[in-house]
Amino acid sequence: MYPTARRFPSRAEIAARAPSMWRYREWLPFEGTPTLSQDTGFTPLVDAPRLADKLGVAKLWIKNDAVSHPSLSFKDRVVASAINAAVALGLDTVGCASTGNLANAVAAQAARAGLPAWIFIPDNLEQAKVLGTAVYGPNLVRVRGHYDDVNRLCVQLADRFGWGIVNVNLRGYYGEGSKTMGFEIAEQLGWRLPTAVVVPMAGGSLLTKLHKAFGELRDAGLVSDEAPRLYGAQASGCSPITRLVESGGETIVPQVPNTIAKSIAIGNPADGVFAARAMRGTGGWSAAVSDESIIAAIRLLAETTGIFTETAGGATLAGALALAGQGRFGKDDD
Amino acid sequence: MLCITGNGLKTLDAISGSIADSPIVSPKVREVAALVEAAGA
Ligand SMILES: Cc1ncc(COP(=O)(O)O)c(C=O)c1O
Repeated sequence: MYPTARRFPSRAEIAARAPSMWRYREWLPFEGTPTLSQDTGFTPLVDAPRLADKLGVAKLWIKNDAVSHPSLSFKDRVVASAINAAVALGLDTVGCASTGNLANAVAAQAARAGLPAWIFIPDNLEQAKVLGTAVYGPNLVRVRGHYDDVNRLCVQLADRFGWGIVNVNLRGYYGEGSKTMGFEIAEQLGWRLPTAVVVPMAGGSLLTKLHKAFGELRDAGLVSDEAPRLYGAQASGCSPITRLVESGGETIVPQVPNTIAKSIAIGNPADGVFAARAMRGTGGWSAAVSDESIIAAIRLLAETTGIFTETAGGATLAGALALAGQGRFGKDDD
Repeated sequence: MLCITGNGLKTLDAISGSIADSPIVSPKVREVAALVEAAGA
């Protein structure tokens, strides 16, 4: 997938590039210069001292992909990576199976690229997620069932119609886009890794790819720190990866989702086993939190940092508070 | 480090029930003064 003779850029070369996820293009599955979605990435890293107090740590940073471009979630990163691959591979139609945010991102980026899109979502998503997809004019289909039913359908559709379904037959390209969040964190900290990172999990890809990104930066000699402890967060109503971490097993036990955190409601997560390994391997852990605590955390984040997040972000902060209550963070963590 | 991965405007339905209605007043200082007093500010 990657050219064998890749030369990685230095810190100074990266710093001289445009502020987008493409400043790390040598670590992405793409040769040459990407033509689409060039403004995605390089979201703010925000210091959150009032929230640090609540968590009992000296320093707390927030990587704020709530202001990602163009569709206000980190899924812009994975779609930017996959849509450039789709065009390079000569595919003329893109699509996705989505819990909502991916639908927004595919619809927006396909519209901009002038590509037809077929987008499949569960029929119970929030109004803003549905409208925030439909407005871009894709073929949007609501499927009776949960995400896992939608995903199964899309596997069949990718074969049948030869579409580039970003998280099915383009999944290898899609997943790598998530690494750019990790690269940005390191660069924005002054080429240093944090000690502990809390990540919301649905399919488990983002957490797995952050782990990979931190490793790749060490391999390239751009940072020298230990891998951060990785912590996952899920809603109790859909927490198959957290259950796997707690049980110490190696196989996901699928769950039927029942939570307000619809964006992370995946009952049979494709990368769940890898995410669990990354958490255990780095000395991290995983939390499952109630819907009430997710709502309370959305409000706490807004009231202490001025950042308004959706339910996945509520799960992240609620998870961090639960993990802090279990004594999993030290005073010097950041 | 917390990874906040999506915007709150996307899931207004999730929190709308938990946020109290804001007061509505006439454009009169005394009505706002009553609110300020009630807020204990
Ligand atoms: C806002 C948000 N955060 C986190 C995730 C989790 O991503 P992953 O499937 O890579 O675990 C999703 C997935 O849909 C999401 O929409």
